[in-house]
Amino acid sequence: MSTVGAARPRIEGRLKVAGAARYASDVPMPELAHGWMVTATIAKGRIRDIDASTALGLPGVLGVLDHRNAPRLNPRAGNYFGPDGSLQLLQDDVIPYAGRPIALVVAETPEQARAAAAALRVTCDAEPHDVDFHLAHPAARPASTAFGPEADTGDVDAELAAAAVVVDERYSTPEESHCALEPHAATVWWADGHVYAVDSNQGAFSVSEVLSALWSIDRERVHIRAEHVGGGFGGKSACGPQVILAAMAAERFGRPVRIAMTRAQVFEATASRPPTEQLVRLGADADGRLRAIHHRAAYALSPLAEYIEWCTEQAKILYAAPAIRTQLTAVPSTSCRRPRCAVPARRPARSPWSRRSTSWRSGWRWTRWSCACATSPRTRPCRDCRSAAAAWFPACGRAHAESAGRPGTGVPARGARARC
Amino acid sequence: MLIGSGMATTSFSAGVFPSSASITAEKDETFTVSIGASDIGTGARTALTAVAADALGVGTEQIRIRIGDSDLGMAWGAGGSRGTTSWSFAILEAAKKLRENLGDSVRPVTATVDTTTMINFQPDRERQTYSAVFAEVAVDPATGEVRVRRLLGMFAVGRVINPLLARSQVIGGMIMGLSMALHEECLRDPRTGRQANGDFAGYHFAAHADVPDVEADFVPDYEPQDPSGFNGLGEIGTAGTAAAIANAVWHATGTRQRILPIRLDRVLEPATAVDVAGELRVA
Repeated sequence: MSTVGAARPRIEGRLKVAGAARYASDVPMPELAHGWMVTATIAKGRIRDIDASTALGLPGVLGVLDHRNAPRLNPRAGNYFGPDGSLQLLQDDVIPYAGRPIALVVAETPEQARAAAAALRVTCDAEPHDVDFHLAHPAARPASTAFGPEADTGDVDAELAAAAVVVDERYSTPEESHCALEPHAATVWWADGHVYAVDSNQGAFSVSEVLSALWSIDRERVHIRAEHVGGGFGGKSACGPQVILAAMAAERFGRPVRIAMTRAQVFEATASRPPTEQLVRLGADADGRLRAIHHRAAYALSPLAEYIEWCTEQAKILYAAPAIRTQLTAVPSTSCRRPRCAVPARRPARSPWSRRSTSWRSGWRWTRWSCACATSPRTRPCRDCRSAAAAWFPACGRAHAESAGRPGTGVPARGARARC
Repeated sequence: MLIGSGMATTSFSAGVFPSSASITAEKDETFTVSIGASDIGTGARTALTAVAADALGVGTEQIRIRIGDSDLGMAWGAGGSRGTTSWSFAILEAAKKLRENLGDSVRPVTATVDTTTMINFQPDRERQTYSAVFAEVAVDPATGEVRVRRLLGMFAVGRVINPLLARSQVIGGMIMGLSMALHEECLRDPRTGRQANGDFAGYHFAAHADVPDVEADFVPDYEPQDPSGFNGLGEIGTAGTAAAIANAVWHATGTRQRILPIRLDRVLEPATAVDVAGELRVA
């Protein structure tokens, strides 16, 4: 009998209901120190000063990391779309959104770290913020078409004019939080130039790639485990602040460091689903047959990284109207914190894993080749990438690095494009 | 109470991304399957064990599965409704390769595959899952409160690997859709720019009392683009549910709800919906 199609309870179910399954903040670890995130309380501005003198004198405190003393990260580390500023924690004095981690207090116990975090005196210069969001916002701009072009078939205006019935409505969905049962957490340690993490994420391999890019080390030196994860829903698809900050602290203090976010920190410092505003115009014959679909939609975009909230996609593919037009708009907003992971329908055009993406219409074929490094989209296949069986970026990175002098990091240096 | 029923249908993008997998035939007749998959509560570990057993022609008790570790090699994450299809593809190919070597008596023997090339050269075709969701609501005309009395979802998601886990997952998705319809919204204070309801006291989502009767089932289906007929079902449960509930509210009250969530004030005072939309803009 086939094992596929058979109803079976989950293998680890007993471990989970008995409380024996270990999540990222449960792993026993000798010499463990605890990090506590301090987050921005203003929506936009600059840090003037972080006075840690009181905090450093409190019991059990090992130290405070902020933008003045944190390890430097590679600014070109990114996601599918390219460099991602939301990964660049503690790198400068800029506050791009409320809830941005701006310091990490490290202490012997979580309680001591929390108490010291409360004693940190942060002064900021606030700048005017704009959390307004709507389709006609002055900052609105066309969304990225990296997942394929807008639909523009037929004559929408003519079909609407000829339609017996027209529906023209506005729809709104709010910003939403993922609210996974397990708050984001990571336990991180370094040994012999390798970094090890037990992290709450949705893809250990991609987190290892991002972390290796941030630290400019071989991916083989980054070991991410996520044996049990208590929900993600897209909110844990990126390399989370918990693992980046804990890796910084573990490196600095030479000890394993754990960060377990509070629920409030998850709300303010991790990814959310952006709000949307959508205008839909439909034209139909008297018998209900669709003649025209005009779908204009806007979503809030983090100012730190590109992202596509793909809410016009179904208008393109699900209906057979003779005229379909979609217009997707991005509104950069300080209300938007971090990008969620955006997933193209087809193979990512610029992911480390593949190099080709085509459009939603079989008649229209959009082929884009890019080098496996996210920073240099190309119109031709990269010879090195194509020939590499594994086809992810160490192969290509080495090719870049020959001219850039950073062998095997997978991180192309500036000016290395010409090689790919 | 005003009673209404509504339904919605939709589709959701499906597909496959490159992954790598290794399978080792051990000395004791068992198989160790290693893949950088993630089980974020979906039951991926259990589903992939069944896929591996099926591909190797053995019982699940002979499969030892290792997941959730970047050292296990390149793999797509649990996201975009593409985890199970991407990982299953790699496991199937590794099993195929291993079976070619099983004639040799040397143990342990390992087969490793990377599906990048295979997937990059697949023809590009539209690939979708489909759903029809039915909702029955009761609306209190005095308070504007909407209660969902019943939800039913029917899904075409390719061949179902484990009906127990699949049903749990799409029911979870439907509850998420119910939550989207009636409860969830981050409210931002325009003065400070901070979220005003960033905790479980202020950010509402469905609890047990909100979901009295939720049912889901699958229609027989087979995805022709997948070697095993599979499709992802991570997100299709959610898609369509909020629209079905909004349609049921219209059926009960005669008023269209086009702003989510369908809060009490929006039900009671639909005439001021434009103002509420204005308020939402700063949310």
